[in-house]
Amino acid sequence: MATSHHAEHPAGLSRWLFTTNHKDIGTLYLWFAFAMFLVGGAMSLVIRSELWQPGLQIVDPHFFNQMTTVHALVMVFGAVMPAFTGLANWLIPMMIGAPDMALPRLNNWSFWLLPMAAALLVTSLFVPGGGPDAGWTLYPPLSVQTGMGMDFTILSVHLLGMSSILGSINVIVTILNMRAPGMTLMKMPMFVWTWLVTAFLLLAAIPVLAGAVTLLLTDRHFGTHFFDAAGGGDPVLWQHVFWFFGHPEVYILVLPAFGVISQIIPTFARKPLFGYTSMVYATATIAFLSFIVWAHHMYTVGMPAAGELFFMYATMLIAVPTGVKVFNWVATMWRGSMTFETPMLYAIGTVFTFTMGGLTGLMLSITPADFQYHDSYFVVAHFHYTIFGGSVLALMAATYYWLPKWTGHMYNETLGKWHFWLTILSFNLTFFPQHFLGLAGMPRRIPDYALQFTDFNQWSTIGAFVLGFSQLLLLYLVVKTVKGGERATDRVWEGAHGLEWTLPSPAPYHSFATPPKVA
Amino acid sequence: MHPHGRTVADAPVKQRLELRPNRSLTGRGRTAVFLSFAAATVVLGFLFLATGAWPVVLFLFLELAGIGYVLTRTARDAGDCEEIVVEDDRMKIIQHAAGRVSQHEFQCYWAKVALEPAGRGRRSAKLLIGSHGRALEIGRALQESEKYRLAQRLGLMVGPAHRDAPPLRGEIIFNSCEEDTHGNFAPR
Repeated sequence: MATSHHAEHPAGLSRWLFTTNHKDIGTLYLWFAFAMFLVGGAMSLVIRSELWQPGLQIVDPHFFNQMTTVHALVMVFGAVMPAFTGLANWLIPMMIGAPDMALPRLNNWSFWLLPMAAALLVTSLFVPGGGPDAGWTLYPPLSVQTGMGMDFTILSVHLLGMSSILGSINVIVTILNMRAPGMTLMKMPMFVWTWLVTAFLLLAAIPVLAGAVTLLLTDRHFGTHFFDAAGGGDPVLWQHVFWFFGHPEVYILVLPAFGVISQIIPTFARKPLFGYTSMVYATATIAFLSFIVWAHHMYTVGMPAAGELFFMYATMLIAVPTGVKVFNWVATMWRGSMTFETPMLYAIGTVFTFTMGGLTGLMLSITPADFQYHDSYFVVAHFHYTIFGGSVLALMAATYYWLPKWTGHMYNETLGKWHFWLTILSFNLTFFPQHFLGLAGMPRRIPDYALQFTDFNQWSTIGAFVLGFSQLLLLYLVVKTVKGGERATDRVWEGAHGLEWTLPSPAPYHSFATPPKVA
Repeated sequence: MHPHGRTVADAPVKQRLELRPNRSLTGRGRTAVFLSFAAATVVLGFLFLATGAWPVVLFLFLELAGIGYVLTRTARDAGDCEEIVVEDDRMKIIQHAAGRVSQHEFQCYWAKVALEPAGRGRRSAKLLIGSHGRALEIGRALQESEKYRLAQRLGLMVGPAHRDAPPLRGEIIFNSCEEDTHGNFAPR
């Protein structure tokens, strides 16, 4: 009776500017993240074009450094983090039987801080002195001495951090306070669990970054010497503070991806997730360990042998809970009635590539070996195997998995599979040779290199272009699915379980007016 | 259990209906969440003070204050509910909102239940009970469909035939919502 009213919602620009609806805000986050993904991707193509052959061809070294820096900042803060927040907005209320996020007006504000921050970051490239060029780690003294673009970056990082903190508080309150009756913590879907842990990580890590960039700002403009050895400061202090944020940040990017994979694999294996409880504890353990390993990024800076040993063993320990997760995913697939629709292909691709990134991470954790790999292309390859292979592929898996629920239409499976194979092959073509480049001694963040590295660099550049342009296929496919196509059923996938699949497809604008009862 | 300690079963009255938003976080849970953040803030605060990066501590405590504010708001709203009690031909409506309690009384015989449908400028329907020139909005936090259902139930409890109405007893647990200035529904 009169429920048709709930399908009504504001239209036009004001709908998107002022919306407090979790689905609208989720959509805004996802489109914003995709736009940033294309911007950051374009920057990576500038980098790869310059590296097509030795010598300086296309851009000057100063601009090259700006590209590596802004590419990383855009991808980490503008693309991957907002994309997972978009998924959280869309899915968490529907998965726990809540009508919306707990603090919807704050939710709107959290999102609209992002475009402002992104505008500042990209604008920094056009100010006198150019954009930030110190790498995404913003190491002093370069970050203290460089041009005005760094100030734009610092303000942008503050806004991005504020958005993340507000979003995290919202996620925590929503999950803890708005679960449907019967939905105990240990009955929550893994995606919700991983986001709960991620939100705690964000709240612990982001103020540290905010403090760090504020120190940088005061060193640049207010005469302090936190990082200036001549004034009694210490540039290594920055490294400690930054990596105290930076290492948990890696898990902020990857834990929600683990949650996505833990939803998708059981669906297409048609079996419940193997070892749910161990998955929850593994997630929490990874989060805890992520705070006590930061100095493994700094072995070559110099520290006491006891410190190096501690950080080496602590880092190696992370392989245990991560191994539990990989084992559980494989065990879930074991003797399952598996089918290989696009989300499942992406999920398996994620497990495969992330595991490779994890293994190279283990190699990097070994202190004496790290002295060889440090600041080489091996690190670039490792990082991209974990973040592209772990997070971005999982985001694509999530897009294909929930797109029918969001739009009410099935996507084109053939195009989806084309997108998967183009992406996974070109990704490996881009980044696998970089392991060899790094092991052979090619340093990262340089626009020029020795002649013997040419072949691998050319493979990498070809892979990058195919990878970049393949993503236009995803854009076409999503737009096509939004506009129309075969009607999706409510449950969409035969093996799907969870409250979101009890809702109609597309999910109504207002859902769960009455909380569902969870058995 | 009612947030203020009473239960529906305890009520020594003829009929009682309670409207209560769904809340899964208990008072102890709220305290545990805040204490865990406070502990982490203190530990990290000492760590960064010791290393000389003291401005980090300011941001940590600023964030803790924000978390405290949100949890305080959550605690304040946790007791929000409405009780509808029918006793000796009188209908009492007790509203608990943001820590304040207000009580209103109507004669069942004369009272009328009205549902003003959603219209321009106001997207949500309004459920009113009133008599003798007074009107009170109830179930403001209910979503639209729940308001219609409640209007039907209450309609039987008022007017000349109210003595023949089936007993009204129980509770409605709902996902509370309120309408913002742009017509969106937002949880309270």
